[in-house]
Amino acid sequence: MSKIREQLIQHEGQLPPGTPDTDHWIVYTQKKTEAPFKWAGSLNAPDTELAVQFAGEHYGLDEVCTSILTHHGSFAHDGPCGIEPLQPGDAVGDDGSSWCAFGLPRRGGNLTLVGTVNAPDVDTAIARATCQYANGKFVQFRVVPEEKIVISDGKGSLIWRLHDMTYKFARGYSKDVREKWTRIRDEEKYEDYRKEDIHKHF
Amino acid sequence: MESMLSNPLAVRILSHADDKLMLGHVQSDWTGLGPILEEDIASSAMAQDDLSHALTLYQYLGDRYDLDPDVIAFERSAENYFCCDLVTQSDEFDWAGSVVKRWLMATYMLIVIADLSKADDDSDLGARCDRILPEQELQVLHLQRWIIRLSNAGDEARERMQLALDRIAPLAGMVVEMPGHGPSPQESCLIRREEIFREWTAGLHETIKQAGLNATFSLPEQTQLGGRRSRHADHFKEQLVEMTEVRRVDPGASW
Repeated sequence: MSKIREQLIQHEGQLPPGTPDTDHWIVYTQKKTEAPFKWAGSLNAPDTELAVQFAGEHYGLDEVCTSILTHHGSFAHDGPCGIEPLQPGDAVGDDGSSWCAFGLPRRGGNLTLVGTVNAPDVDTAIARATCQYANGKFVQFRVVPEEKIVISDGKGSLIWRLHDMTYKFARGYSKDVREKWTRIRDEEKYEDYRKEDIHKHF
Repeated sequence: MESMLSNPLAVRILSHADDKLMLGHVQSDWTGLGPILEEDIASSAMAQDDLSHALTLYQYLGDRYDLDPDVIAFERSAENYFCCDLVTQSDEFDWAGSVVKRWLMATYMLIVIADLSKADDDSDLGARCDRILPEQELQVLHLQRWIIRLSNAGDEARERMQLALDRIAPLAGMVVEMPGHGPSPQESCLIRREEIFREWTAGLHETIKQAGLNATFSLPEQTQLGGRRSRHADHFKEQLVEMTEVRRVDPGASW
């Protein structure tokens, strides 16, 4: 038995609790250079630098990713979430500091970076983001102080790798995979497995 | 295989590829056991990177010596692996030990891969090394950050980091051992042994200073023999048996 298996047995029932000494960070990814940043998830990290690195490793390797945007969870300020798309309102203005505005296209959807607004405080930032970007397309806005946002574009620190990463892509059940499987299973069993696997995971 | 094993440059490339293969293999034991989920994912991704770096170097050798890269990776006898002792050294599932070991190796690999990319008028080798380097820099940056952060995270963390360094540093110099079976290693292309050692340890000491740790690294005598000269420890042989198990059960299998 290898050491790894011995170790697992020794630690059965003694898994460490949670993630101590870390903070909550929110991550958005950009899949193509001109594409908007979209919410990808969140993570725990002890500081900004490791948060950016973890974000790249955690959310930047599922599919091709050109940039990662991260901010501490405490800097996210969400406006009210409507059932119907929000109307723009009339909160115009350009004073104050810069805030990044993220719009939620529908409940259960992914927040998307839509642009920036200037505002002196959170409430005004949300109102101005709604005024500027709602246009009947979003049900909620989030604003984050632009100075609290960290963007990694992969140039200083790599995100998507340079070696062949095509094995990461879910290409489904290609002809090659089918041929390999049917060498060891008959076609009918393979087809049952394929349907069940797709049903479970997609 | 024999012609590859008797060519000094090929053996040097093989030693780097073997380092990467064993490092990735041993580190993958940590998958699912990392101290926090995020680091578990990050270190597993970097272990995959190490395996891919090994593959790209085996492919280079395979193209030149008409060998299947999988044959080079999995079908040599133990004495024809030229990885250093440090990569196969068990960390006994001590995270501090794992971080220190990987940091030492990542820093070393960054230097030797950069060196290899300039070593020959070979655009294929240069291109392969150039693809590895940014990923290697990422590892160094990541592990340096851990070294500094853990060393400043309080008494227990600092003590564990220092203990790990105390345990591993005396073995570390063997990474610059000249690889291969040849009787005259001075004639091999690793003649820059002392220079690489100085460059490597200078970089290490910068981070060690920032971390507030202490370590001494020494260049071993050339008469001291280790993994790169096929004097592998028993634990390497166990790891090799485990790593090649599937290959032995089903030679030539592909996925």
